[in-house]
Amino acid sequence: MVSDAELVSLCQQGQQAAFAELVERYEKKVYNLAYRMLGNGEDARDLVQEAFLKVYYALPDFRGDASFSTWLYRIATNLCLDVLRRRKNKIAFSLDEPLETEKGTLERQLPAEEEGPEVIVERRELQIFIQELIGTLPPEQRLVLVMREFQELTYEEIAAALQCSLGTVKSRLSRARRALKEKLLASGEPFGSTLRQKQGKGGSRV
Amino acid sequence: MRCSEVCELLSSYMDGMLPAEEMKAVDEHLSLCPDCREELRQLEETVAILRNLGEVEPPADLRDSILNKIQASARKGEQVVSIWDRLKRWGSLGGLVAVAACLLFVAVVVSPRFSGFRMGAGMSSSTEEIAEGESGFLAADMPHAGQGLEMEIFNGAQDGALEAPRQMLDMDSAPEVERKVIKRAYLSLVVEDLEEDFERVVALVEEAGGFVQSSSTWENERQRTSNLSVRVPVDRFANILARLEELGRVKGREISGQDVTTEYVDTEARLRNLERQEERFLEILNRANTVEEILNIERELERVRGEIEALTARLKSLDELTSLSTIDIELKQLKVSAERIATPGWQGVFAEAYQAAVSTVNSILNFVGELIILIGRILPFLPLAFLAWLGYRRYRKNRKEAEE
Repeated sequence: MVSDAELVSLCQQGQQAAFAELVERYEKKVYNLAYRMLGNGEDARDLVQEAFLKVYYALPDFRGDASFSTWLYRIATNLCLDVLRRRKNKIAFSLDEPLETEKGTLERQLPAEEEGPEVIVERRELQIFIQELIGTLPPEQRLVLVMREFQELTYEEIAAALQCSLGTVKSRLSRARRALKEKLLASGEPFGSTLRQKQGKGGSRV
Repeated sequence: MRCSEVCELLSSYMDGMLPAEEMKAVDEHLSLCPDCREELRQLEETVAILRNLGEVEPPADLRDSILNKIQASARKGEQVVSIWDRLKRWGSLGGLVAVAACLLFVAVVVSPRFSGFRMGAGMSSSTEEIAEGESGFLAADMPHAGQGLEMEIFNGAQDGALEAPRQMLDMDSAPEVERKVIKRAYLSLVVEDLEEDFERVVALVEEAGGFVQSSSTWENERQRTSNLSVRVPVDRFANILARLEELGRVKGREISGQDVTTEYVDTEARLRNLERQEERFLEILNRANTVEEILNIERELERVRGEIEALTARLKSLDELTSLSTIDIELKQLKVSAERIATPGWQGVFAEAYQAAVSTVNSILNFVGELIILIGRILPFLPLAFLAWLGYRRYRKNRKEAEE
């Protein structure tokens, strides 16, 4: 397989096909990052487009100091944070933004997707619910959590993409995980119960 | 290790990202503390739930829409730049502008004022003093004299200042391969006895194989002056100049050298060409049959010979100019000095002291005035500085928030 670096240099020579290959390689990752960060497909889609456009036009100046993926993540995460910052300043929000979704809305949506077996329904429910919880985390923590748990990047890769220290990655991830755990515990059935149920076996918690 | 500390570390512990010592410490603590074990288990469970969610599939047309967008914008030939980018770019531009503004500020406001202060604070230090202090050494290219012209003007009366040009002369007399240089010098001397020194100059020049081209003498109520124009062989130029200077006090000196090598070489070449032409014409003349032909050729020959003569004369004159350098000498004899010993009266001293005090007060007032003007100049910049400060604070605040 052709390496990213080779594809990058082909792009710099004006090979459109090489860029298409890069898009193919990374669109899913960037889309997932954006989806987890922004909480809905529409914004994620816009963000992926913006990120790749940015990459495309910045590519002639890309020197390869960092790997292409790190650079791409850096651009994508910055865009995510920008979107979140802008969103914070705006009162308006999109209807399908899970962060603002009420329980009633959730249940009303579910019957529409009822075709699949119950497992899938549950899974979708879990998806939406977890996504909602992730959306309540501060953007910086959310970012590290998403990169670690969904993108499965190493601490070093995260630090490189966010241009911060390993220590910062560690502390943010720790805070994010613990916060999420508390939220899960505090939530109602059935997600909290998974944790609590085993809690009985493991011993009492003070 | 306390439970709260361990809980802080558990996240990194799960990923094996702690230093070996801490890993061990956490291990030990976990083996003893059921609460922390439970905490760890819950964290692991949470992570497992997250990871079980799996990946979201991007829309099928995402890739095509990206590529289409790029192609569309490439066709338009313009870069798609987000407003944020533009702002950032403006931000760095703003930095540049700020720096430029600072420099401008320093240039416009501070420096002229500073020099103003110096002039003001330096009291009315007499400008004549400064002018006298600068012994006028000037090296300048004379615009009309063509290539390789050097010229020094000396107005200084100190002998020390005259060392440098002597070295110049030595350098000039260093062997130069076939260079044709017309050397000229002008020398102004103050002498004790005009007649005697005049004779000495003439003797010196004739002894060196030169001659006096012209001379004139006149006199007014303060001084007697003689002007001589002498020609000396170029190899004695520096030597004679040095000896002439010994005759009196040097008031001024000017040396110039005009390199005419190019002109000389050109003239020689043209001359050779014309001579060849002359030969050709002579050959043709021998073969000429009709009177008309002969007349025509002779007319041409005449023209060529005329040019040859002109060029030969020019070469001769260049030869002469370069082999004999010209020195113009001005000899001045000042008439008996009318200087007397002047004793300053006490009245004069007090008057001067009063003047000095007045000028000092004036300087101080001037300084204060300048200070007020300076403040006035800075004032308009203050709102700008305030804005910049606000921006900086906001930036810091944002950074802090981002850190958290």
